[in-house]
Amino acid sequence: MNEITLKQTQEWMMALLGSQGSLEQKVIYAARQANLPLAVLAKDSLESTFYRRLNIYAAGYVIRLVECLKSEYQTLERYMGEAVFVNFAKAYIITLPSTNPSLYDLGKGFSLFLEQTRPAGGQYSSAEEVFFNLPAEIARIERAKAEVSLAKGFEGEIDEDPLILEHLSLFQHSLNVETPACLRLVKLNYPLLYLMEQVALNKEYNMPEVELNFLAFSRVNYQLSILTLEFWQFEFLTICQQESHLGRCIDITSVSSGLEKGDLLARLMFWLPSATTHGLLKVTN
Amino acid sequence: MSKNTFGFKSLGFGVGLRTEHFPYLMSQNDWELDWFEVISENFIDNHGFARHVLNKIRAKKPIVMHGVSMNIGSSDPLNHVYLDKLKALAHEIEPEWISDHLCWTGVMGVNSHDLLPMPLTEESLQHVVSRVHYVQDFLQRPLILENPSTYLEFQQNTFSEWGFLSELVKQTDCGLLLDVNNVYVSSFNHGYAPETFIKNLPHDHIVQMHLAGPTLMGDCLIDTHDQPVPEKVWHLYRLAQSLSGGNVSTLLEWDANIPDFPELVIELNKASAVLAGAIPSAESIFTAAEDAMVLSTPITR
Repeated sequence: MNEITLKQTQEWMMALLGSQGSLEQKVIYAARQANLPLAVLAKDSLESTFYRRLNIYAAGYVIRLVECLKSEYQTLERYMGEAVFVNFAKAYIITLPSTNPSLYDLGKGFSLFLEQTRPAGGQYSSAEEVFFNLPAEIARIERAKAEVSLAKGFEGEIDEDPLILEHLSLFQHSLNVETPACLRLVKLNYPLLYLMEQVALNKEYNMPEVELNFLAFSRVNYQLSILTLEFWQFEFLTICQQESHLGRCIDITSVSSGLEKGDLLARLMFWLPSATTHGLLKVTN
Repeated sequence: MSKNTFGFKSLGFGVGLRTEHFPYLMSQNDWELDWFEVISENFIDNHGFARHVLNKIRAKKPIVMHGVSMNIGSSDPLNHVYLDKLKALAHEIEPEWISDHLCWTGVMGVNSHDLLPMPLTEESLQHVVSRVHYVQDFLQRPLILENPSTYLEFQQNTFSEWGFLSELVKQTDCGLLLDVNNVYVSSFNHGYAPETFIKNLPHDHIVQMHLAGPTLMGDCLIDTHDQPVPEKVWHLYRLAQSLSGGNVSTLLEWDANIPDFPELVIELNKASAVLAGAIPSAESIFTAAEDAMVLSTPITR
């Protein structure tokens, strides 16, 4: 073989890093993919050294990213146990390799990956179902927390007039609503906050029953803020993430939640002060 | 602050800004060092507490942006989204300079998040030269490139690493971040004299130096950033400084098993003592357990 190009060399090495199996299997796979046998790349006298040292890169690639996932999904790792977690993390890294210069996106698809790699229905009893369902849901919560810590919050912005939510001002049609970029709304099939607290503390817990529930994650003065929501609150905040006019948000929520507009307004008057205190949104003139 | 012949300030002695130290740093008004280096990728998409800490630090100390994902040596096209974000961050925090590594981190759209070794060929050189020109034009400032630790060399290499770097500097006028520990690690792994590497660089373009402690695993030194700086690296550091004017900005890297901040500053202070002639003699190379898997260039937070 004549000149080996930069592109060929790099595609060979990337194929090696991103393949499954032992180092020997990776080398065979990379040679086939890039049409470059190892001997072409290694100095003859050092071929065995070259081969051994490839493992520093090959093993390091996976271990480094597994460590990164461990740091994002600490409660999930405790829940699954390290060995099981690492197996799934490795499979995720090989199946869906990182494409972003920032590592913050690495774990973005982990919850979906866990969901899609559950055993197919019919392969387990209904009592076992919860064991296979919880990892993806725990991952969604931990991912939401990670994203909340990175996105822009309301910190550093001028506080709104606290009186804006008093004196029936919600009936004013000129008001606007704004949610912070760091707001995350999560719909879950199991109530998990208590279970996750117990797991984090290494304490015993009962497996939860199926119960649709809604959570909001945000930030106040750089501190994580979590609020359990009712369905109409979840709907309202979801709409507020897309629409800035408060009156329209109320109209749309009334339809989607099935609440009479008057009833919804009354509920909002009681709830909005708490929602703003928790950094979920702010109402502005 | 004095400047080297390449025109960059000498910042003195600094450490990397790491999450583990945020509570300490936010509780103090002075940190008994001269400057901080941040990992660019840890901040370009981070608008939370870490950015708040960075803003506080930046108000008081010089900052340098050090990247790990520019992918300057890759055969993939440069990532313009990344470059835009890098430029925006630089606009916001006004770093003294922006650095990255002479390496590639991914190809075919995949990012390995590792600093992978370049084939040191004429083709690679011309490829990197054209990309450095592009990035320097885009960022409107010289790019500073670091020599990475490497564990293997390609058969097709026609340059030594120092020869490659020297030619790169000559053709692009980029700056160098000389990682003295990486010189030691690579020279040990490939069997050449580290002094040869250091003596044959264009010293007037060395803008910054890195110090760190490696780990021995079998017949290979790994760049683990988790140990005190060994004596041999201190000797090489003194040599590099003496050839480069004696006043090059120095940064201690420590990215795994990170000590408390005051302890880190004690290790950093050894650098100024070394320049005054007092080389610590006790720090030997840490050897990994036989069955341990040691991680090169740990991910920094």
